Amino acid sequence: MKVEADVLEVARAASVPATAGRGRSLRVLLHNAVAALAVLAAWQVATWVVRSVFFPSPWQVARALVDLGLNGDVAGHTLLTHMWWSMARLAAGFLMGVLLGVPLGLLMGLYKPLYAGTRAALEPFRFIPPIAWIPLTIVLLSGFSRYVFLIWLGAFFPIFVATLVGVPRVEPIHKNVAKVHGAGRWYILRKVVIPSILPDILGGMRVGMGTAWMTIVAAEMSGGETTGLGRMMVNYAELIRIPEIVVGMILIGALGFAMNEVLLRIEQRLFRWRWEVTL
Amino acid sequence: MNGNVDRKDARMTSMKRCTVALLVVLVALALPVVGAAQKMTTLRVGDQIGSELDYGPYWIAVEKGYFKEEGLTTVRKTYPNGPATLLDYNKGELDAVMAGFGPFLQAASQGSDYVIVSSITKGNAPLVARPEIRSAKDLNGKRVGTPGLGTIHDTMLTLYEREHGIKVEHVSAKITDLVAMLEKSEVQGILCWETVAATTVRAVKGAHYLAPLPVIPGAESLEVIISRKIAQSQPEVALGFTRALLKGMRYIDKHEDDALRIIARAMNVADALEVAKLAKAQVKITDPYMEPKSAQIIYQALVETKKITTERVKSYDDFMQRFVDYSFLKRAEESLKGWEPKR
Amino acid sequence: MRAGGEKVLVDVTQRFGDLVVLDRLRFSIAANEFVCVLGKSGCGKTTVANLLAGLLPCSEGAVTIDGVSADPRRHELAFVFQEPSLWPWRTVRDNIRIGLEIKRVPAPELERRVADMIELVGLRGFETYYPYQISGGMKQRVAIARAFAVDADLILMDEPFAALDEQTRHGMQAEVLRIWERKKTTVVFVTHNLEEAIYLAERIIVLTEKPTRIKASLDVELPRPRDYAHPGFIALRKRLGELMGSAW
Repeated sequence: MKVEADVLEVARAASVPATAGRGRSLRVLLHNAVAALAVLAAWQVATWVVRSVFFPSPWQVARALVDLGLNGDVAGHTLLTHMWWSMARLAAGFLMGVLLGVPLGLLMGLYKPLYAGTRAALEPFRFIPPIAWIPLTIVLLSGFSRYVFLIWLGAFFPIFVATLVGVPRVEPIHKNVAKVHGAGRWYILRKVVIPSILPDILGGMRVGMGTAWMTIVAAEMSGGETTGLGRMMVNYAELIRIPEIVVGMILIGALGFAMNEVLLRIEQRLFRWRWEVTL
Repeated sequence: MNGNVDRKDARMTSMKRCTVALLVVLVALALPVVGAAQKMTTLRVGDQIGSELDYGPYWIAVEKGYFKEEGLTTVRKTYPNGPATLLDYNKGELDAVMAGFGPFLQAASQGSDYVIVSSITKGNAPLVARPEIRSAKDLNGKRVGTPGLGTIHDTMLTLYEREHGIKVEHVSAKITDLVAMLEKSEVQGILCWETVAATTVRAVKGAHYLAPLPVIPGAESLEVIISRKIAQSQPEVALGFTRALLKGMRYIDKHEDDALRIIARAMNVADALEVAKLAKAQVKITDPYMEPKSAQIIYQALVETKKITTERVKSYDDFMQRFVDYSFLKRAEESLKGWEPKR
Repeated sequence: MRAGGEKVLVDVTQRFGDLVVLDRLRFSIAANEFVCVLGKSGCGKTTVANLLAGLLPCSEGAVTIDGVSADPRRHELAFVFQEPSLWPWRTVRDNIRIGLEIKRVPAPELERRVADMIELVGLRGFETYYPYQISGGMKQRVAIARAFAVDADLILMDEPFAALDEQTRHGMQAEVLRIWERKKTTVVFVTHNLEEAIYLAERIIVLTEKPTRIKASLDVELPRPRDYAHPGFIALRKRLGELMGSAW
């Protein structure tokens, strides 16, 4: 028996991420704070160099943020209203992207002829940027549905493709383990294929989240509704008030970052077994 | 340069020699033209897509050679909207700008500097409604599209609401999307500029100009500015530019049909002449002076809706004093006494 | 051939396209017998294992277990692979459950059997560890526990210890025997290692090179635990060496 030696190995493997993690996360936090300050400093320096009445300093933007937060915008909407609607549209479109992208990716990944037979009809859509759909959606859809559709377009393909290309990468040996014990296709799908490609799917979801944000802002800029961060930014662009636009940019960046962090946390929690995934 | 050519010449075949000779002749022919161009001053002028009719005097001045007569050539740069034009102007990319009164006020209130030398368009804010909307009251509580929160048209809608005691939802969208949105009832009315309104009335069945029109008759709409630097250091350029535009306005006054044909050629839309004629009825493009009453109302409305602050521009009078200079216009009018536009 | 009847009957010819891999390979295995299939790398040993496990359809002939054509859904089969085969997203305990889960063993019974196996292979305390947290030897021990957790009609082991270091391999061999003696299961163990075969097997089937046939079938009647230095061990090793030498 070699249990003692094994135990040593186990202790090493298990403890390394745990203890190093805590010290490292503090240091990482510090690095990020320094980097954020450096960006702010570079921005401030840029305002001295550029010297344009339209190029706002961090201070002007902070003031605009407080003003928007306290008094609402020029159209009478609060910042929270804009954020809420952007997030609601994003969540709805993104959820649809997941609900359609994952099953379709699985189906086509598992039944190759289905994908091969519909490729030419399906793939070209991938290369049409969601923004190109805006004129058509203005003709065909109204209000909430228009945004949801556009975001769905942005989120769907990264999720679908990640799922599709993940399926063939499932280790045959993992499937064989189940087969030898007499497992059916449904069991293999649920217990082998999906857990195997879940990291791919979540990766696709994070990419999809990025495109979804880009799409929502472009869509809101195209108009038709009075709320949303993109709309707010266009309104202020028309008033040539750049500080408020930068507030919108920062909020979009912050919300996108926060949502990405949530997905990352889910990833880390789900995939503790995939230790190389963290950071 | 010459020595270089000679050295190469020695190695050239007769074919190549012929080509060189041809080039020399061509350069010699071109020289006088280049010399003449050097005497011309080039002005970079910014305007917006789809505004050919609004800037009719400019087009006439180009077509009729009025700028050339002043020793000016113009390079036109087109932008999606007024604010974008003004941002580029502020970077020093443009010498003159034609844009809306609203964006000019917004830019001034943010610290931009310029000189308004002439007004160019008035009353270009028609309200087009769907067939079922028969009066202002019918619009109450409905959605009305405008080309943007910062446009003069959005402010006009606010004034229209006040005048009729109604409340509507202002829906901003790209000017070209407004037509489709009205067509499928996503909005019940649109308040936008010509020639889009005219196109909409022609394209959407039953759509009509909602009486009375326009919202404020003859309301100030679009201005022409030049940079403060040119106005101060090259006053003759500012004068020539203003005079050419004034000639354009006189031409439209005198030969409206021919002027509309010239403008329609520049428009690049279906049935351009018909649309131009329909639109011309809503728009005044031959008065170089700003309409003070409407201009003041617009200024007040912008302040009240918090679209501009009074930090840098204290009041309407302050604005008029510092940003409007009619001296070039006055001198141009003086010098054009007895001048008749010829077809 | 031992008493106890023929549990597994193999009579197959296997082709991949025009290539004949197994040429009328015929042998039988008695219930609870530990058989080693010995052959050099590339001789079709893995094909034999895959056929027995139902992972590969026979081109000609059949594998029958208790008179019925071998079928993973009908029979309890288990496989210990050479490559890492634990599901990395499952803990040690949840990996051992897999076979029982598929066969829908009721929860209390399932939990009891998993706990027994964890005890038997000495993995107490590691139930909630993920595969990446344990050593290669422990991983194979989990794979063995997973195979023995079901009351298998037949367990296949395809060079399960080939990737382990010498010392660990000897430990694992002893452990497999210990578990097999406790659970009394039919095992087919595929290997190219002569000592491993002699140490483990009750009977050794020696394969020829491709197209593969049976070269010899030898009963090993040495006392257990077997000693590498025992004269009988050494004699058998010499004999197998000659057999395989002449086969190549």
